[in-house]
Amino acid sequence: MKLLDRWKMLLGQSIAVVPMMGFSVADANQAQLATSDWLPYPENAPPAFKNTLNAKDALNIYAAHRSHSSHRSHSSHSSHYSGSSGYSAPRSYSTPSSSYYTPPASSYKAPASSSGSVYGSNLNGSSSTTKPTTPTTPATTYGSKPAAQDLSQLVRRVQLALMVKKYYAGAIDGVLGNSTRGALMAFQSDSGIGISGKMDTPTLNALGISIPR
Amino acid sequence: MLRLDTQFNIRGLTNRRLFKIVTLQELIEKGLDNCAGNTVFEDFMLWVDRVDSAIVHQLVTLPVGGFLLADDSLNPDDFTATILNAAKDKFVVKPGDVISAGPDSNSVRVLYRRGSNSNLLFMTDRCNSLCLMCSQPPKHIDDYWHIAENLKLIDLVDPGAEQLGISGGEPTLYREGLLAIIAHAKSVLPDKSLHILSNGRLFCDSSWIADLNNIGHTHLTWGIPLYADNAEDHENVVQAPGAFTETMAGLYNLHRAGQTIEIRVVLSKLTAPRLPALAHFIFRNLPFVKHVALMGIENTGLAKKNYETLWIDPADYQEQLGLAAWYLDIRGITVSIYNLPLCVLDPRLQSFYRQSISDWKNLFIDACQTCAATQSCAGFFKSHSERWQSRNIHPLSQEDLNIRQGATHEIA
Repeated sequence: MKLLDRWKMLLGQSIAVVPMMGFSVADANQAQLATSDWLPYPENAPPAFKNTLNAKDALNIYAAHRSHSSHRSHSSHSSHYSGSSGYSAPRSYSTPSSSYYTPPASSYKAPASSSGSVYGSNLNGSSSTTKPTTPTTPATTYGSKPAAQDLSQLVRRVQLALMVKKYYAGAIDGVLGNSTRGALMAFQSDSGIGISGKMDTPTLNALGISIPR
Repeated sequence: MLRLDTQFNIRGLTNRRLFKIVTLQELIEKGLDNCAGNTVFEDFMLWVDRVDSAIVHQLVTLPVGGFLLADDSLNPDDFTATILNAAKDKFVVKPGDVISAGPDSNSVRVLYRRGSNSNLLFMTDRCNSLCLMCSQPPKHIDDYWHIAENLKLIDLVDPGAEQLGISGGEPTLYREGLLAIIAHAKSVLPDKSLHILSNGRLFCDSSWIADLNNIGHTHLTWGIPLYADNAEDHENVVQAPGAFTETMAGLYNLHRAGQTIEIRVVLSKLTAPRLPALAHFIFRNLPFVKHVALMGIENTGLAKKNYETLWIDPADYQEQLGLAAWYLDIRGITVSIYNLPLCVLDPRLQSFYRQSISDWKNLFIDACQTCAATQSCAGFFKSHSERWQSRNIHPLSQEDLNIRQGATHEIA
C-alpha cells in the first residue's frame, strides 16, 4: 500500500486528499491535515478526535433531507415522518427465526412447573412483532420510510434522551407530538443546532443516539 | 468466580421468559441495536439505578418488558410493570446480560453474561453416552424447549466477536433444533465463532453432511472426545457399546462436510497411560484434526462416584502427556493442555498450557495464596476437593513464573 493511501485511510473522509496530489508526501503540511475535527490535546496526552456518534453523512431515514426542497410542503404534517426525501440505510435483515424453524408442536414443553408453552409463545410472539421486514422497502432502496414501529422506537429514545437532559417531562410514548417537538426544538436551540424540530443527524449526535442499523 | 444465578423478588411476571438487561444510557444510545438479532422493546428489562429515581414516573411509561431495581432505595410500588428487585447477590446480573426469569421461582439465571469468556447455549440434558467422568450427568427428559430458548437468546446477545459455546447433554440429539440454531447464529451473529461439544456418534449418519454444507457456517468448531486408540478402552470410558465405531465414522463425515474438528481427551487413570498411542492413532487416522485438547478431569457429577476408577495424580502422567503433546505438535497438529494447575505441569510443556476453566466455576485454593502464577494459571474447578488434589500443588515464585509463560487460548 502506498504511503498516500495509508494517509487517506487514516484520515477517512475528514480531509480532501486531492489538493495534496501534486506534492510529495514528505512535504505535506501538518497544519493542512489538522482539520477542525482534530484538536491537539493539552500536555502530552494522545490526540483527541471529535468523532461524532453518527458520521456526518450517515444515512438517516428518520430525518428529512434538507436539499430536497421540492418536498418542503410535507414538512407541515411534521407530526409524522415526512420521509419521501430520506435515504434508506442499507439494511441486512436476518430472517426471523420462525420462518425457517417450525417447532414440532408436540415436542414443545414448558419448563417443569411453569404455565403454558412459554418459550414457544414467547418466541413466536416476538418474531411476529419484531422489526417488520415488509413495511420497510428492501435493502439499498432509496427514498424509503422507516416502518412505523422503527420510527416510534427512535422517538422513544429521543424522548428518553430529552428527559435525561431535562427538556422533556411527558410520557415516553413514541409519538413525535407537540410536546416532544417543542422539547426537541428547545434542545436544538440551546445546542446551537438548526431548529428543525426533526430527528436529524446532528441532533441525534448531540443527544447521543446512534441511528438504528 | 461469579455465579450464574441468584434470587430476586419478582413481581408481575406471568410466564417464564428472557430479558436483555439495559441501562437507560444504553437504551438511548443504541436502542434495539443493543442486541444482535431482531428484538422489540418488550425484550428489554431496564436497569434502574438510584440516579434515575427522579424520573421514575416517566420511566414507567416506557413499554419495556420490565424494570430491574438495582438500588434498594427505589420503591417497587412506584412501578406497575414487571419488576425484579432486592437481588441476593448484586454482582450476578449486570447490564448487557440476558436473564431467564419466571413466576414459578425467585431464582434468576444469567444465560448470557456480557464480556464473559464462557457463554454457552445449553441444548439439552439428554445424552446417548454415559461417560464415567461426566460432569453433568444426563437426564432422560423431554427438554426440547431449550431450542426455542436458545433461538431467542441468540437474538438478545451482544453483537461482537467473542466465542459462543454450544453444549449439553448431547446437542445432536435434537438434530433439527441444532441445525436451526447454527443457521440462526450464522445469520444473526456472523462475527461470533461457535464451539460445539458433541460425542460425534450421530454423525455416523452421512445425511448430516448435506445439512451442514447447506448452512455453511464458517467459524464453527466441533469438539469431539476420543478417549483411546481402541474401541474397548474408549467404550469403557463412555459406557456405550459401538460408540468408538460411530464416533470414528462421525469424525470422517464431519471432515467430509468440511468441518473444523477438535479432539478432546479427558485425562484419567483410564486414558492417561495410553496417551502416546492415542496421539499416534490421531495422527495416522485423523490427520485433518485441527486441534487436540488434553484436559484435566472436572471432579463433579459422575466423576465423584467413579473416583477410584478415574483418579490418577496428574504428576504421574506428565511423561505420557509430554510424549503425546510433542508427537502431535511436531507433526503440525495444535495441542492444548487444559484444566491443570500450572504448578503440576511439567515446565517443558508450558507452551501447550492454557488458562481454560470457565470464569463462573474457576477458583484458587489456599495453597495458591502466596503463588505468583495465579494470573497465568488455570486454577481449579469450583468443585475441587482435597482427594482430587495432586501431591505436587505448591506456590510458584516469580522466578518460576519467568520460565513458565502462560497463554490464554481457549475455554473448556
